[in-house]
Amino acid sequence: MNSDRSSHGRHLDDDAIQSLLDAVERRVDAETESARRHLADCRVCQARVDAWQEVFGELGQLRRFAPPGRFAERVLSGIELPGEAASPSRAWSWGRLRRWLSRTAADAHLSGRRLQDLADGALARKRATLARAHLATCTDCEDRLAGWRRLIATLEALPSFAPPAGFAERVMARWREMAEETTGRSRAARAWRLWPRSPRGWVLAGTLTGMPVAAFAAAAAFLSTVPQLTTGGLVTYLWWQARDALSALGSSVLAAVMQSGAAFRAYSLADYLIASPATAVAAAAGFTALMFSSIWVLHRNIGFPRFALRHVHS
Amino acid sequence: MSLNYQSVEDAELVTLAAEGRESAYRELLSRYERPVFSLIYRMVRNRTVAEDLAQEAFIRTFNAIDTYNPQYKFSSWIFKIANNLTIDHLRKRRVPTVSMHGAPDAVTPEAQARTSLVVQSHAESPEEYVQNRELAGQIEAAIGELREEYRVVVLLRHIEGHTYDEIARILDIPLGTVKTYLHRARAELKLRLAEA
Ligand SMILES: [Zn+2]
Ligand SMILES: [Zn+2]
Repeated sequence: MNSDRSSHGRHLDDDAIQSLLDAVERRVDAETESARRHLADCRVCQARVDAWQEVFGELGQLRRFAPPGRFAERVLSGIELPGEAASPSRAWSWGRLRRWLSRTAADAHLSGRRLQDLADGALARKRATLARAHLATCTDCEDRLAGWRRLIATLEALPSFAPPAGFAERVMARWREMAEETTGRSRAARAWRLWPRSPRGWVLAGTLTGMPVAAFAAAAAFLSTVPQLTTGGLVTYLWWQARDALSALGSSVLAAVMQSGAAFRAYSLADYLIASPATAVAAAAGFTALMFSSIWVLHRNIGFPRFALRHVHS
Repeated sequence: MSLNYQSVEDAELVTLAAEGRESAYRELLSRYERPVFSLIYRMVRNRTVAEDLAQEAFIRTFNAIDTYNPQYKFSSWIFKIANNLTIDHLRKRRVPTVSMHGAPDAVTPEAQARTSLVVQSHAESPEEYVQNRELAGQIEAAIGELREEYRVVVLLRHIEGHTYDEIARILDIPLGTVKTYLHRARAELKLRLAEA
């Protein structure tokens, strides 16, 4: 398949597009007819026509500078006007020049895009002024503008549709339901986060749970190899051992407290606070502030159901 | 607390909503339920699906209310969310799936149940009756025939009255593209209306 062709023949070249754009206002021949047929089906060429139209539109709005005095006379004396026998290439360039000059005149018709933008108030002020200047002299463009204005007015008059009855109630109910679901789900998600995900995580979790189990199993296995040990004897032995350990721990803690002087310091601090109420109040305030901030941190991290709080407010 | 919410600006309503005031949510709903539903309805052209998508749009907006950027209009934001949902839905629908268990474009189980009843009975449901009347007009039909990209731009511009900049932001496309889409869309509409 040739990329240069579409279902309706060859793509239009730049010359064809320009003469087509010219033909909008001028004579229509067989060539422009076939070009139009191609254009109707070819997005590629449509895009290129749009681009050319934009160029023509820009040219149509260029400001005209007056040439210095006697310009026309000097030009005419310098050139040879094409007669019957003029070479085809010169005739071509003369025609092109004339066409271009006519394009740059302020009476060039407005493109559909220009008119649409004007109708929609989307044209910059300077361009709008230029467009209006042309419109004042051209009923053709004025009619086309009126067409775009009618279309926009028709669109803007279209009604908006109300959603089915009870829509707002259903939205609020569904949202509330979802808010509760999400709070539940986020708690589950937090617990789920503890579940190991990587092989390393599994090794760690396995070690943490496996070690005590293995230690206990080893101890049990060792004890079962000692024949003179009975269950009752073992329990009695463990009980004695535990009692000894506890009393040793208790006496050592008490001794440590007394030796470190912590008890004395606590006593003297209380004594001091009683002596100066201002310090006591400050201490109480500080303690309260710490309490509240820790509760707040807990609240933010545990996340009480937010919707329940919303109801309290409203 | 009795505040006259009708005189409160959108941005302030959003702040009140983020603070947890249910009445602020209700006011936002009553302001935007019509425009949001209308836009989605004209895009998907099915009342049931439009209601489901509009509901989802509001829920997503409300859930993300903490993240609202007051630099932009609230309406741009909610339309952006609604449009994204609609485009997702239309894209999914483009894959032709024929199911006996409800319309392929039904987005929730309830919608599937509702539409599957319609399919089975082959009768015109009240909803269909309403929408056939609503969207039957010449201009509505012409809008319905537009490409989705063109259609949404025309709706946002000429029915919702958004500016070109707002449309660019809602659709996440350059301003030039908004203009091009609008030009082409209006040209197609004009052509279709002239043919009819
Ligand atoms: Zn072509
Ligand atoms: Zn004109």
